[in-house]
Amino acid sequence: MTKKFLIRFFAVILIIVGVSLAGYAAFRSSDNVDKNLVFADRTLLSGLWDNYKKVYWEPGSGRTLDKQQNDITTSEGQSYTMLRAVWESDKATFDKTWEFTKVQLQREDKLFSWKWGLKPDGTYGLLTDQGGENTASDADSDIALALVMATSRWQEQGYLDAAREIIPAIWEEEVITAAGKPYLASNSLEKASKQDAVMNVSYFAPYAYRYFAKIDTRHDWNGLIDSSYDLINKSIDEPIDKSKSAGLPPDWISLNKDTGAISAIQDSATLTTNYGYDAMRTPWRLALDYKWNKDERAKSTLNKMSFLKTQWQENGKLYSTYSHDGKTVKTDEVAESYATALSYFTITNPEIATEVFDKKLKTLYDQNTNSWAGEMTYYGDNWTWFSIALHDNKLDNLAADL
Amino acid sequence: MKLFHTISLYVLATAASAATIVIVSSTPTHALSLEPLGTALQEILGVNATKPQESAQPTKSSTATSQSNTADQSAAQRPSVTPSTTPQNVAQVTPVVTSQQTTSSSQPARVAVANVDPVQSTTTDTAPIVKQLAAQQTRQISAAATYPSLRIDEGKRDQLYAIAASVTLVGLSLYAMTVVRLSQHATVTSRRPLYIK
Repeated sequence: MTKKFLIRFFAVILIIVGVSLAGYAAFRSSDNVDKNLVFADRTLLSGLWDNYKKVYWEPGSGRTLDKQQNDITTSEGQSYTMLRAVWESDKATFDKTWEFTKVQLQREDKLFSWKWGLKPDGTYGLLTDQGGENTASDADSDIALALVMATSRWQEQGYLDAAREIIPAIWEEEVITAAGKPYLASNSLEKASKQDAVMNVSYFAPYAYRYFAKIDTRHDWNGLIDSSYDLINKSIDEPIDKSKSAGLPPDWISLNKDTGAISAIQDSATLTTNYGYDAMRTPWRLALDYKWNKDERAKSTLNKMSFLKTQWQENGKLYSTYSHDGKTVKTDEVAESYATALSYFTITNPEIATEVFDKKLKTLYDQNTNSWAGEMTYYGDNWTWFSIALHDNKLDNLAADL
Repeated sequence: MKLFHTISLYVLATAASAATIVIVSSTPTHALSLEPLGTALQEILGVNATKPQESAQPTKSSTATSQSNTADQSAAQRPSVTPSTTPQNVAQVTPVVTSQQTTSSSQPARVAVANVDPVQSTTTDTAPIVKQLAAQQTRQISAAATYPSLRIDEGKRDQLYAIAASVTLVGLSLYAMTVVRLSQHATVTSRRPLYIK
């Protein structure tokens, strides 16, 4: 009897072990594994903000470090930190960052020098040997936007006063006229150029120009919104230097000031019509304008970028760089390309947006350490945060009642 | 007779386990699918087995279709999703600043501006400087993302399925043996003495 009992007992144990193993295998191979983790998006955003400040922000000086470029500080980096700080309602970080930006980067014309860091002589300052004293118009716009939102967030007149000086300066120094229409050039040198203007449509921020129109009534900011949409669409629709267009915006184009015609920038290996690290910001900027202002042009322009949807559905992945006709240029997968594409999906295909977020972005976050699980650049950190926040409706239109 | 019966059952269980391992390991499976186990049991029991080409085709069942999609998606998410051609330390390859310095070393923007503007402000164009500046401001490289996951790959899952199936079969066989032996004992004649007049 004892022997029979032992055999039956052993048999039952084996059955239980076998069934458990099968269940374990099924669970571990399923898509639901990661979804089952306890997860809060709010924790992700605030956790990543804290991590960003530890890794990329210098609390003593208030400058943002680009660790992949010898710890330089750019006006772009300062603008991103200011935007995140105001959305995170982190006044101390905002003030410190603005202080550095104002003291170290702001020029006499109230715009901002774009590059600051360790100079050849061993001291720190503007990297004038690399044109660091010049401007980048996207950063100038983003800094002004951050200041406007800070005015509403913290009810301090000083931020608005600063914005009131910057916004007209952007128009005076960086907005060019082509075929009778205003366009935001990529920097302040374009106005003096007699040749075609070097343009970057990912610099266009129509949601910000709506604020600027209220603050600076002397200039036609609403006209700039229209021309920005026109040029973004034109750059998406036209094949430019290829035989066809895949429906993606380019990184860089040339704009003929007389005719308004666009073309590829000649004689430059880096200023291409690829959809790459510059152009990937365009979907986010359009999505934000749609979220805040419900401008149908934003949605219809985003709808043209169905190449991203096709790529995702066919390959289950998106690469960092595509040529203007849709060929893969670089096969690396980077967080910011998924994140900025998330903005496109958030407006056009919310179900795919959730899929991309779950599979490609949420998995990069380590909730045990409240940081990224892998390596991230300052640029990738910022654009991934901006895009997740937009996806989660956490980018409040803070100055809506301006 | 009992010894023969016991040995037969052990042989059957062992053979079934071996067959299951072979079939499950060699059959393409889908996540959460119990099809291989069914196929294995069909093979063991001699029931009409699924045709080889059918196992690779999606079935008409909506459930089976969704399982197939799940498998495809999970395959796209595993660590192998990181392109093999792209090393993880992409950011360390060539910092943009290096190429910028190279680019600007031939004609530093500031020098160009300082030399050009005061002398020929009406005829000299800033286009080359603009291009140079834009080239420095553009971003060419970033850190490649890796996608850590708690998931196991298909090979590992199929191994676990095979082990689970064989363990379950051995357990079931042992249990069946004891039941059979018990039933045999139940037919043993009563110990009640027979009274013969």
